[in-house]
Amino acid sequence: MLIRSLIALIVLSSLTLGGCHVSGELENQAYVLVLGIDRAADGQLLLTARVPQIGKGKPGEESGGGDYLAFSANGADWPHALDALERATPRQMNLSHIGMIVVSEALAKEEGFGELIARIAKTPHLYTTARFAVCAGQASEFIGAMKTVIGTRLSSEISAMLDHYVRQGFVPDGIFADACYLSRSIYGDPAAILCLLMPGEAPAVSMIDPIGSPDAGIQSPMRQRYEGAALFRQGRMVGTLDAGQTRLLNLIRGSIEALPFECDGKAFTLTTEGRPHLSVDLEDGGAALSLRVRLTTLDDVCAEDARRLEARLASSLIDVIRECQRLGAEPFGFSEAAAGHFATVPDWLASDWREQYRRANVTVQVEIHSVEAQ
Amino acid sequence: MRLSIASHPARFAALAAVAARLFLGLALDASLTCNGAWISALIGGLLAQPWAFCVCRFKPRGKALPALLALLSLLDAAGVLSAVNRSAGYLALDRSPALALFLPTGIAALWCAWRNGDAVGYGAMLWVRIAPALLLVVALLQWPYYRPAWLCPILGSGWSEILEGGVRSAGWIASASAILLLPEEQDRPMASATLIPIAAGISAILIALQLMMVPAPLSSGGWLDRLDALLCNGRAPLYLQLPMIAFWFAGLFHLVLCELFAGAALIQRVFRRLDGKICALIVVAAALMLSRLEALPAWIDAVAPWAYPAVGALTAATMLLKGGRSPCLSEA
Amino acid sequence: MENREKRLRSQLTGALSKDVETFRALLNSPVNSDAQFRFLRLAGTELCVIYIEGMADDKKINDFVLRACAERTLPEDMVPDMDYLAQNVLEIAQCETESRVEVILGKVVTGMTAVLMDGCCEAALLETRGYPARNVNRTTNESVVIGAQEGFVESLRTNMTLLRRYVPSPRLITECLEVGRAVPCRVVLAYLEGTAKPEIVDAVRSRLKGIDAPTVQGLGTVQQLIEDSPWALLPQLLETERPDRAASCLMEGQVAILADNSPCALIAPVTLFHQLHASDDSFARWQYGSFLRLIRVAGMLISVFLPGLYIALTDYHMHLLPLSLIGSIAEARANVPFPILAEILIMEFSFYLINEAGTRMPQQIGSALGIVGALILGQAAVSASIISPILIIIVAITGLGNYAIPDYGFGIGLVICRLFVIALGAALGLYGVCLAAFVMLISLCGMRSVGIPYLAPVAPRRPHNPDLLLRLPVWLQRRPMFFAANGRKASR
Repeated sequence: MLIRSLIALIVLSSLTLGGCHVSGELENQAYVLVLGIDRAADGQLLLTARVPQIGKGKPGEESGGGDYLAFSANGADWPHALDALERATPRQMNLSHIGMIVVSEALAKEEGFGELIARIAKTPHLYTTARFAVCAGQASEFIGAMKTVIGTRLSSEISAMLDHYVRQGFVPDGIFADACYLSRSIYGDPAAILCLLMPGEAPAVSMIDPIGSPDAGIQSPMRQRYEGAALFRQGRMVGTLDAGQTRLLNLIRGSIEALPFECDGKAFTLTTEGRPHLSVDLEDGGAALSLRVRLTTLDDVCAEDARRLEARLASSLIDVIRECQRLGAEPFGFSEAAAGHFATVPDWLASDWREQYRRANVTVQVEIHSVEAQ
Repeated sequence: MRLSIASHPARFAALAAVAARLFLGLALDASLTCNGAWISALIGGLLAQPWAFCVCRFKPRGKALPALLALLSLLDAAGVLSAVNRSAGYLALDRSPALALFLPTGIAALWCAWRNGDAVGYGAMLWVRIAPALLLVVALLQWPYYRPAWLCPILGSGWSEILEGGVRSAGWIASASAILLLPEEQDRPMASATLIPIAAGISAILIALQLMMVPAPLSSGGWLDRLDALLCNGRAPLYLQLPMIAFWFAGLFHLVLCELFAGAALIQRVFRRLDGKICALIVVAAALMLSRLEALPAWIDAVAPWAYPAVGALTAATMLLKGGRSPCLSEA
Repeated sequence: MENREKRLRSQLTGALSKDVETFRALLNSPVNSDAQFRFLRLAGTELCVIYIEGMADDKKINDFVLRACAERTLPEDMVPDMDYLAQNVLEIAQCETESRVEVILGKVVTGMTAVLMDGCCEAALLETRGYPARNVNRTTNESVVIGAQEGFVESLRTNMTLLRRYVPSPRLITECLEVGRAVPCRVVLAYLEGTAKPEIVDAVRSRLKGIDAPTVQGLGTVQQLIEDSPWALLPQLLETERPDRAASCLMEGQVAILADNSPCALIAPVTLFHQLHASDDSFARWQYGSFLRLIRVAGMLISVFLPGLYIALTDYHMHLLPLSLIGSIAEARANVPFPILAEILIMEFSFYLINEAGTRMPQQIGSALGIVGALILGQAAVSASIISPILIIIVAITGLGNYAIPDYGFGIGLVICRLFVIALGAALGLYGVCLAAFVMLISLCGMRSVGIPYLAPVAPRRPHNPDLLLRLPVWLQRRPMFFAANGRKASR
């Protein structure tokens, strides 16, 4: 019995204390909060990581804004670049809490970008629910210029800001896993957050442009702007939508509940009544896309104004859909509706749905009810 | 020690094992069925039901059927052990030696098998009650991320692949429910046989939920892609993983224990002089060795389409040649 | 030694001097100074009163034996015999006659008094037990907010009386047995006839009779000698120091075992769910009782899994923790010199030390423990950067979870389970924690209490009262538990 107990003790000790297990203490990790991916001048992949300096403050104190470091490294491809970044980082790099993955526009428009997304997603323990953004300039510069202007907690520094923009509808929700999945799937295309770094140190003027209204003239101490959507077709970026168009895109996707809208110089606040209904008709060989949106407004709108508002909004929605059709991108969800018309995946693939989508007629039906009028 | 189990706990052990095996087979191992995997599960359940009824009601005599089922269970258990290892490695222990991942499960399964069949069955009984609650938590947490449209096109790769998936499923059911052959006295054979379609139905629901998380072409991608979608929820926040991890591991542990126990007990039926503890030790050691073979997935894949036809034919032949015995009589 | 055995198995001879000599030899008198032999005469016949000083009540012997014999006058021609003595002279309620030396000696050492008469081959055994005993008092380990407060004491007779008071039924059977070859210990098997299943009563009785130990020191030893799986970590019998709880178990069809010098009762059979029940539950309204039980279940789960989960999550699965929490933990751990496993083990063992020291420490210096405890588990350890504050919270919550468990033995078993979970969590992360949970689950499924599955009536399913984890209203509790004899509850 004694011998058995001794053996059990030795096995247990060797397992737990002998270091045969591989674990890393959580304070010895470098948590990457933002990861930037660029194509460097020499054609290599340039990675930039923004890491908070945990442990700099006194024990028990929260890390406030400002205590961040940025590391960069080059590599021929994703594994090599990641390996180089690991070498550049003085602690074990941890990608499990990435808040945002920023890719330069030039890289996103490259031919094999879809494969790169897939490769990135396969990285062990990479947080694939991070936001996916496309940066108009260099991602490394964008990250290097990042400052926390409102002292928030570590976890919400990026997510709180982007959640705010997503709620407003200026950017799509742009989840990286969605981008990865949809790039390789048959159900439409992803849309990423579009961002850019304004030049100079001076407070910048916002580009946010509500539909039908001129520049709102908002000023901000931040140089980073998150406005609009980057559109993808089969994993490759093909174009952009501005902030106003992105709001309409989000309306069609059912991801916003309120839409400020201007018609004939009057401002209205529209709220959605359930999710928009998307349908596809494939009966006549060609495809016909239909969209039905039901909205309400608290404003006092007469019947004539309501019809004008409906026509204006329908026209704007058709413009956005046509723009996407022109680019060959399908970020709305019509593909999901079309999938139901086919029995098998091979049938679906044989139907050349993408081409049918590009040539499809679009019908948009908007219904606006005024609460006051009711 | 005689390895044995009463019919009531055996039913629950088979229910837990069949549901887990079908899910593992169709949602992770077999990529051919794509969106139609859940239909394959149902077809497999319907195909295997008459066999299960025959086994429970008439108890085929002879040693050939126990021997074949023991081998299938052993092979399957090795595959499940391998899945446990890969899941643990994928989650956090990717730099741990494979032996450090295999051994704990093997030792735990051996220790649990030595508690004998009723402990295995009661454990499954408890798991069958806990699992729906855990699944409900998982489903509620992931609810916003499910995309029902991704279940279309409904037939996935097509009817032929779905039917092939169904036949494979029936084979997996046969090996996972081999424990049904063990009870000396079968009190409700029809209830035992009915649980097979029920387990297949549960599995179909699980597969459908999984398919709503992963778009179709991706669901026919690599094993790790699908595991990633399962454990990391792909599009849902990572902190929602915890209940899913518990659900996944508990399901796999019950499956591997059920198959190893059934394998050991069936070996004891074939070699009656062998002690039950020795049988369990042999089966666990063999499964551990098999699970380390690189060719194992290919073997399992090659055996899967033929497993059910072979088991079905052998059962029929045994019944015709040797007959069965009354379900309420114990063999001396 | 052989001579002693021979004497022990002998019968009384009727020759007083010879019989007294036998008892003197067996009781090692006069070396044993408390063995008393008092000679007296009754109508010319010589008697000897044998008792153990201190065990027997002197006053009873003086008043109802010695004085009774001295004051009794008999007809001149009458030669008294033992029957006459028992019926007309000795004024004590319980009196029996016995001729076997071994039996007489056994009774005398427990405090009874033997009266031997010259010329008579039988002795009168008188119930004169009067040794000092603690009064019935409040329970120490099973406190309740509402409900009865009194607890069992060391006196078996008092305990039986308490039990009878709570179960005033003629169907309450209290079978007296003796266990222990060399030093016998009186044990009482109590059950409610018609409510307890005869098979279970027989099983417990045969296990008690089958005890083949030279000495049995109270119920703790009895428990170890009769439980189904002595190697299991968790107890398979319930130990309670509350007569109301023991009575409630009897009415549910369980069996209680009482023993001399044990201020508690053992209940059999029990399931895991019984270990989580407390006496308050049945006193409180069903909503409160159910809520408190859920708290206890949560306490049990926290006690077993929280430290293991903490180490698994912080060492292997940081991705499952929110970054803000990681930030807090990492900031706090930045100056701690130990890895998390060492930190957690240090804290756990410190906690056990404080716990054990608190139990053993003399009450006069008990306040010092609070100071030491606060130093180890408090701000001083944090300030010295030995321990991170979050770990103190984890260990404190774990300790609280453990204290919420009503059964002391069960709580200690869970502490050992916790160490197992910590070891596997540290070695294998969540995979290890899941594996530990699975092994514990199957172990529980394999355990039995007097042949009853430990997880019944859930696994396997058995008919039962809706009084397991949740307690439904009393008027819905119509079914007897599955281990009770068929029929309605005895209490109805």
